Amino acid sequence: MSEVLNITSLSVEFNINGEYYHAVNDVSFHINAGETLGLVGESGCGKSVTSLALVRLLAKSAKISGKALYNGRNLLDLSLEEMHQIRGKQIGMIFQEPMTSLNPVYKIGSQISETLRLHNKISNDEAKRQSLEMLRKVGIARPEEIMEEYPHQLSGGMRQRVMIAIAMINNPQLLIADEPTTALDVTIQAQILDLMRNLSRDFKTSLLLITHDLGVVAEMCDRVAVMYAGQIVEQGLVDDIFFNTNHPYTQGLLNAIPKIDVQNKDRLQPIVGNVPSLTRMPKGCRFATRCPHAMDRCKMESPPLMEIRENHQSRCWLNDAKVV
Amino acid sequence: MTDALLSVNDLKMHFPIRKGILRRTVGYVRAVDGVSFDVKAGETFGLVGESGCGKTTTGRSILRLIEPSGGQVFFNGKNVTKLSNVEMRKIRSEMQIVFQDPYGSLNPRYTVQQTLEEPMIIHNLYKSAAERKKRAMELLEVVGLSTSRMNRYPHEFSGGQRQRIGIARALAVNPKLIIADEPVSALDVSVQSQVLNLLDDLQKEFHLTYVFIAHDLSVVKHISNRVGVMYLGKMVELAESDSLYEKPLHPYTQALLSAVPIPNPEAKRERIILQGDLPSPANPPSGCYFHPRCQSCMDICKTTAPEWKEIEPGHFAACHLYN
Repeated sequence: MSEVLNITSLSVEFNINGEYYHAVNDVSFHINAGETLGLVGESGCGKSVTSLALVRLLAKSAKISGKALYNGRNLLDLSLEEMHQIRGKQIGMIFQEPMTSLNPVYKIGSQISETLRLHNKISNDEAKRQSLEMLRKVGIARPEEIMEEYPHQLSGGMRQRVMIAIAMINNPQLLIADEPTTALDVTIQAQILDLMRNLSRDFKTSLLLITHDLGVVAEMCDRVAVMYAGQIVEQGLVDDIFFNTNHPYTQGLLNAIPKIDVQNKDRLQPIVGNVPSLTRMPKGCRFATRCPHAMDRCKMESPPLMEIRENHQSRCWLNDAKVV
Repeated sequence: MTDALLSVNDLKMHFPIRKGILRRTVGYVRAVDGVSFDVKAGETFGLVGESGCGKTTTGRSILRLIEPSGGQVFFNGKNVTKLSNVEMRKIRSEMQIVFQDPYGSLNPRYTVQQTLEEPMIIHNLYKSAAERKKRAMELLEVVGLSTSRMNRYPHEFSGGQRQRIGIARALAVNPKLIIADEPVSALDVSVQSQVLNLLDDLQKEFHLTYVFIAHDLSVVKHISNRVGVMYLGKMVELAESDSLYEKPLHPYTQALLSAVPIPNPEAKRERIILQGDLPSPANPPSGCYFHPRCQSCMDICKTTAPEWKEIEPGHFAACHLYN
C-alpha cells in the first residue's frame, strides 16, 4: 500500500514565559491510501497541535522540527505559496467547531465555491453547479436555498455538513478531521460519521480522525495512535488496541468509560490523578505518576516506542522486561 | 405516590417570543411542555435527550431558578411552585444544583473557602466563622481535595477539581436532593469516571437523591436507577434503567440508543439513522412531535398527540404504536 502521509519525529515547542516546552514530542506515524487513522487522547495531549503543525497552521512562534512527508514532499519545507496549493486542494480539513469555522458574513454558496475557484480555473456558473452537487452529496435537503443562506441560519449538524462539503469538494487525497462530531448530538453524530465513512470510501480519501471518543474510533478507524502528554504511547490496528491493549494508559482509558452494551453497575475504574502540565513533565515515563504498574525504572528513564508485535508499538518498560 | 421525594406534575416552561417596538408576544418557545415524573428518595433519576430538548430547563424550573409557566412541583409533599420567595429560599437548602461548566459556575474572585462558606452564611447554618471553616474543611475532604488548598482560587484547579468544588458547595447545606446538570460532560474520560465514582460514594454516605441530567447515554445508564427520555420538551419514555436500555419502546429512544458509538470494533448492530434535525420548539410539528423523523410513523401520528401510558409495569411511553 502506498503511504499518503508519513510523519517522522515531529516535535512542536511553544514558548511559555521565555522557555520552550514540548507540546508534541517525537511523534511518528503514517497513513496509507484510503486508510483511516485515529489519533486519540485527552485534552492537552497534543493531538490537535500535531494536525495543525503538519498543515502549517500554527503561529510562527511555535518551533516545529521533524518531517511530514505528503506523497514524498516534506510539508514543513514548502513555501507558503506551495502550501496554499496543497491546503484545501489535496489536504482537506474539518474542525471541531462548526459554529466558528464558517465565515459568518458570507453565504454558504460563496464559501463552498471559493474553495473551488481558488484551486481550479472554472466559471462562476460551473463552480455553483459543482457546489450544489456537493451539498447534495453531503445530504443537505433543499441545497438551492441553503446556498443563499448564512451560517447562523443552519443547525450544528447542517453546518458540519457544509464544512465537510468544503473540505471534500476538491476531492482531496487526505482529510484531516479534528473532533468533527464532538459538538454534535448522538443522532446527528451518527449521520455525520456515516457520511464521512461513505465519502472516504467513494473518493478513496485517507482520513486522519482526531477524537477523544473511543466509541467513534472503534467504529471508524483501521489503525489507532494513542497520545498522552505529547507523545504517542501506543499505536496499532484497531483490533489490537481494543483487544490486545498493551499500554497501561490505553487500558486505563478503556476501563474508565461507562459502557452502554454491558450490564454492569460496578464502580468505574478511573485513572488516578491528572495529566501533568507542559511545564512540569516528569523525567521518566510521562504516565508513571498515574500508572498502576509503575516501577522504579519508569520514574528515571523515558521508555522508547517499542515494537511488541507486527504493526503494534507501545511506549512502556513492561514490554522490555518481557523481552529480556 | 407516597415514597416520592420529588414529584413533577405537568411542568411547563414556555418562553415568550417578543417582536417589534411594543415587544408584543408573537408566540412561545415550548421548552418544556407538560413533563411529569416522580423521583423516589435515595434514587438517581436520569434525564436524557439531545440539546434543546428541555432537560436543563426542566432541572432549573424544578428549583424555580426560572419561574415555570405551568404545572406543579412537589418536594417532600410541599408544592414548591406555590411558595413565597422567603419560603423558597428556605427550601433551597434541601435542593441543590451542580452545574455543567466547572469554569463558569465558580466565582473567580472567591477562594475555595469563601465559595464553600457562602451557602452556609446565606442559610444561617453555623454561628461562628470557626465552625464554618471546620465544615468547609470537612467538605473538601469528602470530595477528595486537600484541605491545604482552602485559600486557592478556582483558576488554580483543573476541570475535575473544580467540579469537585462545585459538588462540595452543593453539599454545604446538607441537601436531600441534588440536581446535577451535565456534571461530567466538560471533563475528560479519565477524570469523568473519578467524578462519577465520587457522586456514587456521596449518595451512599449522605443518602442523597439525584436528578442526573446528561446527553451521554452511557453515563446515564451507569449512574441511574430510572431514566426519562425527553424530546422537544416532552417526556417520550420513562423506565427502569435496565429495561429502558434493553428494550426501548419509543422509536426515538431506539434511534438514540443505536446511535451511540460502542468502544468495541467488533460490535455489530443495526443502526437507525434519523433523518433531519430537531424541529424548532417554537414551531413544533403537529400530532406526535417526533413523527417527521420517525421510521414507524402512521397516519394517526401526524394528527393526534400520543397519550402517556404505562405499557409494561413501570415502563411508560408516549407512542401510538402501543395503543
